[in-house]
Amino acid sequence: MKLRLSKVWVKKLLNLPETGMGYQKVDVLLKDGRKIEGVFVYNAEFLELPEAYQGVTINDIVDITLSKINDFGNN
Amino acid sequence: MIRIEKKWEEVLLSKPETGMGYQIVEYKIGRIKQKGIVLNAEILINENEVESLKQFSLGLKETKFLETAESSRNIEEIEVLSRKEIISIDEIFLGFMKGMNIPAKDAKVSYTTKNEVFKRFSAFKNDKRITPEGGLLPGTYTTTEEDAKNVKTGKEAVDRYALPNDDPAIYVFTVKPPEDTEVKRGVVQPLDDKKGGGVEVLFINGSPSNTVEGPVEIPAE
Repeated sequence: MKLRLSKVWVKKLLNLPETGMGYQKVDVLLKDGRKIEGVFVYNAEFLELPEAYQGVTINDIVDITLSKINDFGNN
Repeated sequence: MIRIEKKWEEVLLSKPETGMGYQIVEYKIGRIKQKGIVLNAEILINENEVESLKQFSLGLKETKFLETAESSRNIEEIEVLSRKEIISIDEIFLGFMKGMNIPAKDAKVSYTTKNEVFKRFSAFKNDKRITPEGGLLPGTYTTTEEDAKNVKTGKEAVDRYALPNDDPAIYVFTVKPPEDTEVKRGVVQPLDDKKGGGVEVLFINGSPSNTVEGPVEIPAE
C-alpha cells in the first residue's frame, strides 16, 4: 500500500540523504503511538506501508525519520 | 600480490595515506613502472590484480593477504601518488571496493575526476532529488557511466541496484559534476530477491546547478 505524502514530509525527506538510488528507508511515528520501522519512501513522496497498516492515512503521521535499521533488511 | 620489503615499508609509512589503510602508488620493477594499492604499508596489489580480491569479499582478513602475498626484493622505486596524479584512481579504488563488497555509505570519501560522468536510474520522470536548476541534492545516489552500461531496461536497473520499488526505473539522468566533487563509492548490496552488485556512488553534498541532464527513457523490460 502506497501513501502519497504531503509537501511538509516531502520537504523534510528531501533534506535527508537517500538510502539507495531513489529511495529512503524510514521509521514512521503515528498519532496513536505506534512506530512503523524500516519502511521505504520512493522519490521522497510515496511511502510504502505493510498491509497491516492499511487504515493509516497521512493525517495519522506524526513524524518520519531515517531508519536506524540497516539498509539490507537485517536488524 | 607482493609483500613489501621493510625498507619500502618505512618509506611508505613516512607518506600520507590515500584513504583509510591504503595508499595508491607507482612502483618500478626492472624498467617497468606500474600502479597499485598498498595495504597497511606492507602488501602491494597491482592495479590489474584488484579483481582477484573478490575472493576475500566475505571476510577480509589481513592474514589472508599475507599468506597469499609473495615477498619481493625486486622493487626499485615506490612512491605514493597524489590524487592529482592518479588518473585512474577511481577504477583502481572501485576494483578494490568491489573486492571488499562495501556499500557506498560505509566507504571513505573520494573525489570525482575531470569529465567523469554518472547516471541515475529513476522510476520518476520528476525525480525530486534533481533540483529545478539541474543539480543533485546532498545525499543523492547515482552509478558510474561505466556500470550503467550493464543496464538496458528499467527492470534490470531495479535488480542491479536492488531498488525496493518494483516499478521499472526507466528514466535515466546524466550527471556531470565538477572535478573534485565529494563522493562515496561502493557496491550495491542484495535486497530480498534483487541481486545488487552494481556500483553505487553517493554524492555527499550533491552536485551544483546545471550538472544534470535528462532524463532519457529506456524500455521497462
